[in-house]
Amino acid sequence: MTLAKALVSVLLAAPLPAAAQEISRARIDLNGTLLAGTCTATAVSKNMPAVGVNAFPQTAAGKGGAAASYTDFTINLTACSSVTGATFVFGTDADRHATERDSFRNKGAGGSPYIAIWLRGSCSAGPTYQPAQAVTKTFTTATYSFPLCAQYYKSAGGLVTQGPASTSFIVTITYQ
Amino acid sequence: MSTHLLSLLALVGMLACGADAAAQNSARVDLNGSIDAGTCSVAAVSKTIPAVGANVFPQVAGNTGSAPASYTDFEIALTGCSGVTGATFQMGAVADASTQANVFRNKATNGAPFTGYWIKEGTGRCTAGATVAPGASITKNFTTATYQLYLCAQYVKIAGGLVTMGPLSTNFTVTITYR
Amino acid sequence: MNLLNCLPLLALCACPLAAAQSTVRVDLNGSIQAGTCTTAAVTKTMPAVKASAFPQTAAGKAGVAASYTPFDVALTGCSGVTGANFVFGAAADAEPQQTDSFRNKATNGAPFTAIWVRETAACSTGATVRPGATLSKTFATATYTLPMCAQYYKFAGGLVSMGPLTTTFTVTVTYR
Repeated sequence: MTLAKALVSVLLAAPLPAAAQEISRARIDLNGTLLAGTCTATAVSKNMPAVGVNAFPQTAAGKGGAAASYTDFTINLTACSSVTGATFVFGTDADRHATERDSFRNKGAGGSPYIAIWLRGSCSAGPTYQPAQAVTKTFTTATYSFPLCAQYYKSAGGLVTQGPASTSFIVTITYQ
Repeated sequence: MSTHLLSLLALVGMLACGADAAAQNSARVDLNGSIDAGTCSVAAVSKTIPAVGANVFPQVAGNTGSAPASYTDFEIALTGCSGVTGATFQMGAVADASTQANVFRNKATNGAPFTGYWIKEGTGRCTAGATVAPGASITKNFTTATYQLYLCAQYVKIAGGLVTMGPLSTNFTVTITYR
Repeated sequence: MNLLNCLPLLALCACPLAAAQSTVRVDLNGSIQAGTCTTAAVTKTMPAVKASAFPQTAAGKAGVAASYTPFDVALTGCSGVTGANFVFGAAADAEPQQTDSFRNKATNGAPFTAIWVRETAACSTGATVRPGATLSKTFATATYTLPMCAQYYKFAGGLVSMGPLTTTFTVTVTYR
């Protein structure tokens, strides 16, 4: 009787390999919008005072405004909602006077070509707002009034003659 | 009779101690394996955040603030998890931040200025969750087959100017490392 | 076994935002008025002259120095005026035989006589002012005086004999 013997050795001889890390990647997209609000704007129609020819410089080359024609008005915005401000654009280049380019031309039929309408924030000392100029105002109230003043202005090139002195332009208001 | 017993014992003893001198080989056997971490499936997330008016934000350039009307809950949902004991979620990268380090910046073209997203984590969501800065990591332990990481996004104004209208969008990649 | 889940990228919505806008029409209507002056009627008694002061042939034509009568068309209280046009009567006031003179409108008036009006301060010279003619003057003063002179004139066609010699016409002044 023999004893069959076998030696079996179980060796864990190599070092353990590093465990492979499982990784996923997920893209997160978040898409939103901030809205501008809006206001209601009302049209403006103002009659300016009739002024005599002699209120203006009496030479062809003379230029000047006429205090007797000062006309204050406002562009009123109401029912403003989610608005932080607005940009006002006063007419276009096509509204400019031929030689007094920062004023509005006389569109009255038969009106003197040497009369323009000068638009300012305040007639005595305010900034000039010329045709096509954009002006931005910041406000968060439900209403906003933009103060303006118009006056007649004689350009060079001839004497002022009697007739209508009128202009009309579109103010485009873009809200923020 | 007694003589016979002694003989038997001696024989036995010899049998037990001695081994037969038989023919021998030895062979080394190596068996190498590893234990892997588990894995899950994860889906991309795309959320539309409600539009709000620009005026809900502070109207002072230097001020910051959020917009509760924009609170949007979302989750990173892990499914089909197998052999997972937890995961670490890396939320985007530092490069996704705005000038304010804990805000994901507005990546939209012509985006609303001085805006971004604030991401919060936890069941408290936007009101009580913990802020997640771009590039931060969140570690969770779980052994279930599914797992939801609760998150919330909200619009936020950062300092430097006033907010005006425009798109407010961001995107970032979450890298999930399983354990 | 390395699982990298590359997840599908979801596109961002790139919807352009229309800015909220209003347009407001602004009308500014005014006029430039001409000014005005006060005019006064002119009544002049011309000196009586003898019929022998005139040419003694039927074809003869001439004025009479003894009848020289200066007068002014005077404007006062001018306001806002830069000039005026003066229209002296009308073509119907002319002597048909001598249309650059004002006809004798007197009943049973001295025949072949008319009144010659000239624009002048010195009656022996000056441009003839025909009935219906317009004189245009530029001035910016509060008063303006247009010096004129009238004289008797015999026109061709017969001899002058005694009788009244008067005329009347209206000067229409249009201001600028």
